[in-house]
Amino acid sequence: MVGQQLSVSDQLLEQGEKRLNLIGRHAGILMHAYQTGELDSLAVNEGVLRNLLNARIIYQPESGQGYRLRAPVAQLIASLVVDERRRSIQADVADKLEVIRGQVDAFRKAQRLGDMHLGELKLHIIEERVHDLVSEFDEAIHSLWNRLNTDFGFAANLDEKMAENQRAQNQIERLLDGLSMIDYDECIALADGHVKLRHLLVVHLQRRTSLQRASMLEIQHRMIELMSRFREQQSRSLLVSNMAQFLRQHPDLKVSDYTEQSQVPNLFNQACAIQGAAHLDVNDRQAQSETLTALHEALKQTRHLRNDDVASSESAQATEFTHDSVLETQQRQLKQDVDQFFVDVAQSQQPQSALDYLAQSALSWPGEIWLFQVLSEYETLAKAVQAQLPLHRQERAVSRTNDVQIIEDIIVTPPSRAA
Amino acid sequence: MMTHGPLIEALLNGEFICAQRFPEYHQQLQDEALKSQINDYLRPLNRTVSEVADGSVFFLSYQRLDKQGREHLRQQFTQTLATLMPLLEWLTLIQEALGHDSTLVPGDTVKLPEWVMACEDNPSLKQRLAHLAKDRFFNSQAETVDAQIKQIAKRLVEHGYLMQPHHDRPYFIVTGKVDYLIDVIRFIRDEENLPVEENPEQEALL
Repeated sequence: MVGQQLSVSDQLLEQGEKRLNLIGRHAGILMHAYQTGELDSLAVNEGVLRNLLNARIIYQPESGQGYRLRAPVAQLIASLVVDERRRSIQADVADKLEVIRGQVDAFRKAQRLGDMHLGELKLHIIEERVHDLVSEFDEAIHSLWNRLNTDFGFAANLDEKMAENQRAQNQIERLLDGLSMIDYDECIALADGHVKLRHLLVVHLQRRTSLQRASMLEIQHRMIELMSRFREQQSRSLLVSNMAQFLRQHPDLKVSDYTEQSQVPNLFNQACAIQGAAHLDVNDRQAQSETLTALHEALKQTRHLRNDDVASSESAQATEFTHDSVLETQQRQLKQDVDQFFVDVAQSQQPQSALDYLAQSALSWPGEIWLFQVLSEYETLAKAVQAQLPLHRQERAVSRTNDVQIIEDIIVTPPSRAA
Repeated sequence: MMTHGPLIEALLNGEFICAQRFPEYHQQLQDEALKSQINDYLRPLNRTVSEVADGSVFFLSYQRLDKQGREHLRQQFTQTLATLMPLLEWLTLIQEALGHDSTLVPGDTVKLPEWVMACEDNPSLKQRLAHLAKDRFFNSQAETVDAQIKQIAKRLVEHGYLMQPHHDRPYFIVTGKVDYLIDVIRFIRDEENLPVEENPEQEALL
């Protein structure tokens, strides 16, 4: 009996291979038929046509009419090329469950009779059916996600998109109904006492389908959201075109002034801008002398701190860790030079670039360290002094895609002395 | 509150905060607690945060209206009304030109070369474009399609309906202010009882 079974499957194997080859050999005309809906019978000779007919790849709905692809072949292509227009979703779970039930019965019978081979075969079939069931849901979920993620891009217009969305929602309903037909109690009963069956019907099936259910609920949620977006788009488009048309027809439409209402609607209540930047009076001579005094005070303070060997800025703190007297001396010198820079700027008439000053004074500090020190010293100045000595950073972005700003130079503007 | 300085500054500058132009600020304003904190801060300035188009857009409104404020609003309203028609014409024109099946929504991309090509290939679109470009709002004296479209895009950026992510690349993103525009149209229609339908079923009945 087993031998007979084997020879049957051998025959099947051979035939299947032949027919798959047939599809491969005529892939061009079959794809053409898939696209146009009808096989170009002039492109093939009669022998090929007969072979394709016998292989159940194409059929002729009525004599005299053209040849078409059989539905499973069209489905196979749709699924291979992820063609959402044609991909259909099978939700007939009941039938598959029925088959599984029948096969489990047969398996039990074979076990009782001690027929190991038949038992193995049945177990194999059950496994195949369970995987079939699970993968069909997987395929459906994949197809639905794909439609969602492309916003139903395959549909030509909004109306069609909405129809497709509705169709997908109905499919989800049916899929969920299908999933709910899987009765886990029954699965447990079916698998009773057999490790492999238990693994298949309880562990595998249950885990996968509960994931699938969650996935489908999520898709359903998104579909509904997308639908409402489509609806909004649709009504918005109609609103825009109808309003444009109405205004064209009524060019002198008088609209009442809503801003006269005691409660102006939010839409028409946009406050005028308040400029955030403050401007100071640079011609105030009184303030000028104040600036200079304050600056003088500030510098005196920092000098006093330096003498006490207390770090007053972060850069100074950083060098403390080295405990290197040479570095400390250098740092002090740098601070002094920067202080001098501020004093010079405050007494000069023109805005002064920090880098230009560095070059003019023949100081040996590297530009980057100089700018950093100018900035950190500026931060230690009193706010009032800062206001009198506006500091401007010349910045540029690192690149077009990276918005990190690099400070290229610093310009300090002295208080104006013009009367 | 210090960390929200830039957001408040943008608001005070009279900006429309939408998810396209200021994604970070727009996100921050979703937080009701923060919004009321900002409102507290703005109270002495007679400003309050307004939210329109289902939270798509935020901007500052007067909290109390004095004579000056009302005058400002009146002028602004007159301007809004004057821009309504050109903006609607722009929306319908670009929808047709780009072959979209719906009007532009925030986040959509508008590529100028595509738009130019569509208008150059179609005499009717070209004529409508020329007419639109001459409108006082867009105010273009240009003769070529390319220059007209550039001027229209420039004005739309100035008024915050479009933004240009890269100054040297001719593509634009539609901002949330378009949602605001739609809200304005709906409001006017409802207030004035205009027979302007937006429901496909009812339109079919008419």
